[in-house]
Amino acid sequence: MSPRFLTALLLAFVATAGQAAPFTPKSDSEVVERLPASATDPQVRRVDALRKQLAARPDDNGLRLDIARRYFEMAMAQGDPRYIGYASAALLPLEKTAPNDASYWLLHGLLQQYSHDFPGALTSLHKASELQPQNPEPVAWRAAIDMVEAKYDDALGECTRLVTLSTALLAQGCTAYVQATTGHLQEAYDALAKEYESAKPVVPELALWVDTRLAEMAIRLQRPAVAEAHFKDALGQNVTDQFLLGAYTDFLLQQRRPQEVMVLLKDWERSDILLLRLALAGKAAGDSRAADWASQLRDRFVAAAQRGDRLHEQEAARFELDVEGQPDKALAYASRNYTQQKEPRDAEILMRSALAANQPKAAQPALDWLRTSHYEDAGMATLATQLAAKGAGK
Amino acid sequence: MKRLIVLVLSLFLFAPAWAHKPSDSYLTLRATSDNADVAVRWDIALRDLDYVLELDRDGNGDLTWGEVRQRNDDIAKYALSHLQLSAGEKDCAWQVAAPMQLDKHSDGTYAVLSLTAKCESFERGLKVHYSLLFDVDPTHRGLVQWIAPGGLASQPLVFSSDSAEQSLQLEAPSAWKTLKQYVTEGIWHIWLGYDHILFLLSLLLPAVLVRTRDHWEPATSLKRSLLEVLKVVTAFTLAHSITLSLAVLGFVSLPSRFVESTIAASVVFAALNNIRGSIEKKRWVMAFTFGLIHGFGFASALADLGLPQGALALALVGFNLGVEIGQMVIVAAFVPLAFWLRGTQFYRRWFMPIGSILIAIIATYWFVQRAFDVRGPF
Repeated sequence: MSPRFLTALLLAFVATAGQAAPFTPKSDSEVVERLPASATDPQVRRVDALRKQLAARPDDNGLRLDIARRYFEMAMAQGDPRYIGYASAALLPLEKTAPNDASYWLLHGLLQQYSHDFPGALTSLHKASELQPQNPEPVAWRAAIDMVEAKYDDALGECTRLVTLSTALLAQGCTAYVQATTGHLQEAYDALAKEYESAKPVVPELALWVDTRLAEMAIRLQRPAVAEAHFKDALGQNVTDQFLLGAYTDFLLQQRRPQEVMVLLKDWERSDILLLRLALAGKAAGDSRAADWASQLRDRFVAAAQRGDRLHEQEAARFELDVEGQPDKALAYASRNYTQQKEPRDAEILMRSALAANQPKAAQPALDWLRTSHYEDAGMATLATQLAAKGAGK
Repeated sequence: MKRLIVLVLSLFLFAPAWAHKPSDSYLTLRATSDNADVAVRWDIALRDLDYVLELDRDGNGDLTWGEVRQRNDDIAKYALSHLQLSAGEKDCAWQVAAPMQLDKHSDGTYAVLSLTAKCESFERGLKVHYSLLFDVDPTHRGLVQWIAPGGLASQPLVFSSDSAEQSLQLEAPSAWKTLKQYVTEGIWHIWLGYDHILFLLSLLLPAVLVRTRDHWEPATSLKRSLLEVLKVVTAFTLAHSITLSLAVLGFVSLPSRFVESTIAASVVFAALNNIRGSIEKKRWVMAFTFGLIHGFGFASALADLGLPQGALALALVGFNLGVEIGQMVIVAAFVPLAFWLRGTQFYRRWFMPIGSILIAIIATYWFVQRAFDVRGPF
């Protein structure tokens, strides 16, 4: 049998097996889709009712802003980008008139930051503050954007502004996050932990946030038991939060406890960030589901690439490096990601990919950041030394 | 209170995009060359259709086939009012080609519409205007695969609210052109991928010799040498064709680091074997075994070139053919020369052993580089 013939045979087989096949369900009662937000959810019902009102009164700007705001909050809570789309659609007719309304500029800025238009978002959020100086929201968002862009002085300025506008704990959290990134890790941890103690009792959402931040700092201070305690406190707030789950499962992976990751995230395959953790845990534990998780994730990255989505690059780099074992591809993602997003974990994946791909010079932007920011992290320091040994400028 | 929660969330600034896939619809547009028809398969998420048409009549969150089927006409009407094909300045007329069906995508169930656009003629160009869901969700995208008249490969197009109208390229990249492109790539890949050449050469160096007791003698007949070459080359080709196909078609995948280091190791092994001569008779077995691994290397090279949707077979066959041609050129250049030199001291005492050692050294270096110079935390 010639190889040509064999190939032809194989192709013929695949041509029949690989076809996507539409189907017709057997009976009318068959459930073909579970809608994520059922109409019984009061939040969804309320916004549906508002949409109907808007159809009757399309010029009611207040109603429009209310709908956009509700959709944005649903997007934040459920992590569903369709709600971002619905919020944008509600806001769109206002874009032409660009009203002198603080809520409009705040929402517009939030949607801009969502699509990684950071300069545009900052302009809009400044406008919101001009129109409504007492509102802490645009200030907090600006601080967060400054952190992503690694503009630490700007971020610190916004945190200082929060002191008079919001609670002391929130302002302290903001400041501590900047300080922990700029060479004052221990002080930042101590100050935030102290403020947290004196502010108790704290609403669950804020407690979760503070505990997550403290846990992340404790990891970098190489106190895993303390980190674990903070994570447990955060999880004990009984607020579902993907960011917390992502941070905690990363910690568990680092501690080589993949079994716990798989238990914790068992119903979270829907979420891309958490599916990545599942795939990593499955791989580390040699679990039989690992291949399936990896292939689901692969499909989602292919789909994102098809639509030209650039929002997933940090996770895509991690996927290519740690799941697929493709350092060159990982480096391409990580480098592109770093042109926009410059948080510590963006720098870390760039360094790891550059090292694995044996292209130490590609990590230069991250190494420069590490040096100038004075960011304290033993793992990243080791990476930097290894990269320097291979010829990157330290 | 709510204010504070959002405020807290803001300080995380994580993109909620992670949690779900955004809204996309998938279209395949296939032009027929004999008349000016375009066959359309359009997959639209049931969730999106529910948002605009409220399919879930009882509002329990479970969408049944009955609830979808009963709204068949509304769905078709809604969809078709948001997709126009026009040839020249004239809109093409829509026909429903088959009843609505369903299909599962990675993020849920989609309605599948089968349609035909009847156009007057393609002579004055063909345009698509796509506006599905843009009014309610500007982040929605229409992902189109366009297959031009007589074309095999499809071209991807993305429709967004900023690019709702696009012209379709009527000139199909011909099958021949696609094939030629991949053949050329295959030839270059084997010529520029020194590891494959060195592996092949290591196996071919002793083909013009015969091992007697512990030293090499020149082969007596050309026929015998050619038969040996044929066996080795065929085994190598067969093996790498199998794994190349399996990998490209997604049946098997191996981590690139493992593949690349094993390829390097195979070169070391083959070269050292020429000196130790432990595998003499069954060199084709070695060619086959390691050929399987080389196939994975070819597959990742091909994947890096990008695989055309719809012409995967063509790309695969073309690339493989190119690899074969490149390989034949090397064999054709090497074998006559080696056969001519086989009787000389130079060939047996110097060229073959020292050449083999050099190859082994280079390949050992590659192996160390590929196997150990890489670090991953998991």
